[in-house]
Amino acid sequence: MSKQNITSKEVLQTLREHPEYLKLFRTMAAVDAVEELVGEHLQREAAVQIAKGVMKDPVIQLYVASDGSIDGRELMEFVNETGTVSRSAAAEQGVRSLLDGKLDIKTLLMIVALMKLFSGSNTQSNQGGNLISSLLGSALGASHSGNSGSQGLLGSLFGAGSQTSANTMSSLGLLGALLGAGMMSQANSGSHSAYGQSSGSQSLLGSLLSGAVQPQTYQQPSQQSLLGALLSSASQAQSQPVQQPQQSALGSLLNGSVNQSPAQTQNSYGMNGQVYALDGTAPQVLNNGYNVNSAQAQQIQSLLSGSDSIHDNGQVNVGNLFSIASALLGK
Amino acid sequence: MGFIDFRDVVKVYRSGEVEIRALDGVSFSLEKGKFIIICGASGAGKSTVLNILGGMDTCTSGEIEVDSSRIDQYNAKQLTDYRRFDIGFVFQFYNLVQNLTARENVELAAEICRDPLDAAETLRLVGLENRMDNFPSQLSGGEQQRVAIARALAKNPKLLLCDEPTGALDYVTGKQILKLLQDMCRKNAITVVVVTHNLAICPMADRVIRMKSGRVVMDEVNETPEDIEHIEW
Repeated sequence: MSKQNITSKEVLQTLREHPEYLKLFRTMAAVDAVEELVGEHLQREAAVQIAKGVMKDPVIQLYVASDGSIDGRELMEFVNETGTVSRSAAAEQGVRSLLDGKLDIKTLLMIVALMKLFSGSNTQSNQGGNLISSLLGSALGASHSGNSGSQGLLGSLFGAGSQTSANTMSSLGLLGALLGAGMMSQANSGSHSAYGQSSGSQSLLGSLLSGAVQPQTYQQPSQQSLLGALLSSASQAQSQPVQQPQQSALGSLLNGSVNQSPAQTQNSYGMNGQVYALDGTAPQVLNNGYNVNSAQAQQIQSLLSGSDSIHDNGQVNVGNLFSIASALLGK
Repeated sequence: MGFIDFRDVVKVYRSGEVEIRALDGVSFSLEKGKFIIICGASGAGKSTVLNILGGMDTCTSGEIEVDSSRIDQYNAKQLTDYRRFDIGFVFQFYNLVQNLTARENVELAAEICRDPLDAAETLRLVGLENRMDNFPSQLSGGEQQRVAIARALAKNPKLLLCDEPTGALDYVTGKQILKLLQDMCRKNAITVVVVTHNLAICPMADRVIRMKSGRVVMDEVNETPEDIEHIEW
């Protein structure tokens, strides 16, 4: 691109179309990157203004601040036509695409968390808090904080409707529920303090991602998360006994081996049947026999839809859970 | 074989009919846990080396091995993972998210790594224990660069790559940052590679590689690296 009177909007559009140029904004000053991108005919002052506009864009900020951890192309695939991540069908499609193997789960979590942040969550009032914990806390702690407008991470991205009852997180997405379970399990007692507190040196999400949370940990009566509740329900042999395959599937999710069916077609990154692990370890390490196949996916769905432990008071968006479960399993 | 091996690495940029050989057969071998300076004038190829070593760019030919892995053979996804898990970057510009606190900026990068260091602890390590809850706009340039260093360190990387890390800082602050990097290398055994045009700081390095026109023109081991505090320029 090389012309006068170019705007930051046009530069952003170029970056969306050609994400390979994004790295310029990591490796050099934004104004230099703009000049590199636009050409030499641009006046310095104009380049400065364009650079300011470009750097205001949250997606660009996210990319730059990720310290190289996010691939520009993956990020731009996540961004919809208008250049924003919105609570729209396009965003849902983006998440499905991401979950389908084009982006690993950790990156997804981070992106979603950040998008929530950029969309105006209460960062400024969160001084001293743990970023992710607070983000998740705002999602998971609705019943504690009285913040009835808060939603689960994926739930908010999916544009889930109004929030849950006072003591349930069942409108959270599955992933949110998983995280919720992780958070509750870290708290052990006094769950109110879990959100801003990092037990030991690990953040909550960190501990979950690092695999510190084991399935057994969830089987505590006090857990309020969806999955925790489901597991509690299972262990207590309530209305729907959990069969071994179901346990395997849940165990798989809890263990972080969120797998895609081997039958899944190769994605654009050549990761055929790639196992994406929450703790980032190599697929073969994680492949512990808890692989989720289509049958198990159905069982998870069945479990999610059939359990009385879901506080379905009319505000639960079970459809979201189905969507997420399906997406997680690459269906 | 070293911790990092560049073997006859060539990088060619093409712009229309014009071909620019940014790297022209670069070879060197670096040990783990050392403080390495790659220096040279603008256009010498030093940043190209750093970008390729950091997985931000790929070479046209040659072999690059880091910790026994051939990164020149990595695909895009593998390079992203490599950057994510193995490399910490420090640039002249701090690239901090303005509406996140210092601690949050560090947590952001750390959260997606395998074995991240504790964000607060890392900030303490760089001397920002009292500034954790400040936003970048409330920090000086040197403090912002410290946050950027903490962010890179919190990833617990195999390799810390710094491209002109003091370029936007005044003399005193720049020295403080270099001392911090030197200390990180000495005390925590992190391999640190600093790219700079400032030849004056070369005596602080364990190893100095000087580049010119895409080639290595000098590669020497410094048996008695100096403390940055004793270096003036």
